[in-house]
Amino acid sequence: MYKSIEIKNFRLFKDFTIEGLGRVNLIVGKNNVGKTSLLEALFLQQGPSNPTLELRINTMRGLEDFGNNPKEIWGSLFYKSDLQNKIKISTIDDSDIPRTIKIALTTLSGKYVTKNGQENIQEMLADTSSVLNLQKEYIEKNKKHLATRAFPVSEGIQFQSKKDIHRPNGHFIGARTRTKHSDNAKLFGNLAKEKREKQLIKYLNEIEPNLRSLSVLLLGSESIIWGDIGDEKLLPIFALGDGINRLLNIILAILNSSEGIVLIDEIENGLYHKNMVKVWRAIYDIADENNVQVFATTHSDECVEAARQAFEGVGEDEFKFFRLRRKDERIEAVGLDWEMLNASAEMGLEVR
Amino acid sequence: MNREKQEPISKAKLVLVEGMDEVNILNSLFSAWNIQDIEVREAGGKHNMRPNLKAISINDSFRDNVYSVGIIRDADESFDDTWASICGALSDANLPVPQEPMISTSDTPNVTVMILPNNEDQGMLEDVFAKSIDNRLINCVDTYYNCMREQEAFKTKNLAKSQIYTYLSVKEDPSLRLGESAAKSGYWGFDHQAFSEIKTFLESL
Repeated sequence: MYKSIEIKNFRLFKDFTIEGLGRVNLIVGKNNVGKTSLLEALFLQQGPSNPTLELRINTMRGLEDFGNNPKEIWGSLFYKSDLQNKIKISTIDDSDIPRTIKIALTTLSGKYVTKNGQENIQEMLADTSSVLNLQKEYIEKNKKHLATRAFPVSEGIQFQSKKDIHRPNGHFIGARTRTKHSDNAKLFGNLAKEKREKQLIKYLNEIEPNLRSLSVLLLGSESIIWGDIGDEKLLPIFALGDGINRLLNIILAILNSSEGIVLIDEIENGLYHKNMVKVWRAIYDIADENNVQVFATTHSDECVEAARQAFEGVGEDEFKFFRLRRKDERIEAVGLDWEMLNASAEMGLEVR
Repeated sequence: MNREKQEPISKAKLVLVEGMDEVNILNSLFSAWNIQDIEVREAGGKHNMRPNLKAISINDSFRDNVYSVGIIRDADESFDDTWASICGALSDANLPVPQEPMISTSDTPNVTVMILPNNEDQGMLEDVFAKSIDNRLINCVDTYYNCMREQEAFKTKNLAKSQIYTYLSVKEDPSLRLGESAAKSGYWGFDHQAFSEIKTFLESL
């Protein structure tokens, strides 16, 4: 579990620190203060050997069409798109282990040693004038690895990685992007193999009491999850409403991220606000049981209030509340403890 | 219990008082004295001022807009204890702590504290109101109290509060709380000397 994270030169963050993280962390703040960027930073940090994450967080923000200029593909990752400064994301976990990733657009050179042997990079380039590659280093306990590289080639983007860095899973659930049905089916399959699907159904029953069972079947050529809600036939899960699908995404992600992290952007999306207390309790129970750390953002007052009710009485490291705000040119994280959160509610003061 | 969401703090001067009754009273004083640039909010008394000040101090609308904060509290049994409680709460909330009542801090936001009734004695806001009641009427009230004393029915521990509610009990509407009565014209004379220190305090913010 991470205790703190420091982010430099990434997206909106010039130099940002957040400390005192807990089991479930709720992050609020106005638009454009870096809530999503904070989740993205944690996501990158959690997957040091995955060379596609830097592109994926951009496509999750809607960047669908990119040419083969590395500055256009990855420039927006850097603070003020200034490519001179390395992105640096450092965490400390509860065993005091420091981990850092450094990301830079640097000039490609020489050969890159992969598991398949040496490959001559120059021969793979799309355009010999574009010699930049996105390079990620991973440093754990002062041991440095060149973890990944990505660069455009004529057929798309070439990703290379060292496969020997092992970190627990991380899942990112975007504000608007839907998790693919086949991905959810796969995650469900992992659970079903271990006969853990009952656990999942118990929590889904909180918002869909009629749900009896889930199974993975084909629809067309795609594997998807089907639900039995007592009708004569099973229904594909997407037909059961936004709320249950959102909760299913969240719970599957947590159940499949043991010892790791789950990041949920705009958690309230699709969920009926009167169900939020139950949703928070479910998230906390599963996260605690599977030793998963959860980071969620919200824009909704009702969602904050529901968390306040759901987490009443849990230990102080179990639920943490942070507000991001701009102070001059920088962004700072302000932690609100229970006392302040309750006082704000009593006085009717906005905490978002 | 949760209050409905309030509007963000929008004025540069903010007065914090103990409860909703005091909020109403201050708003009546503002309209009597034509004060338009101060906003009043409830911040609790000895039990909850500490968390409340912390919550206010990190609120965006407070940090963005407020440069002068006035705190009004009742001394109740002890001026010294109340002063210590306010200073502790300010310090916990990382707000500037003044040296003495009625004198603003030089650090921003400027914080000024007034402890009722007079920055010295024990007592409360009701003492100020009781003092403002016309002497002839207070004599009538005292006559009634003496009569009750003879019958051994005079038990109050808060003379000022009794005087206020005795005075209010024969107004057109005998059921008003002090805060509600403050908004009614003709119930209280805010030009009375008794209110002058509060006026000075508000003008100094």
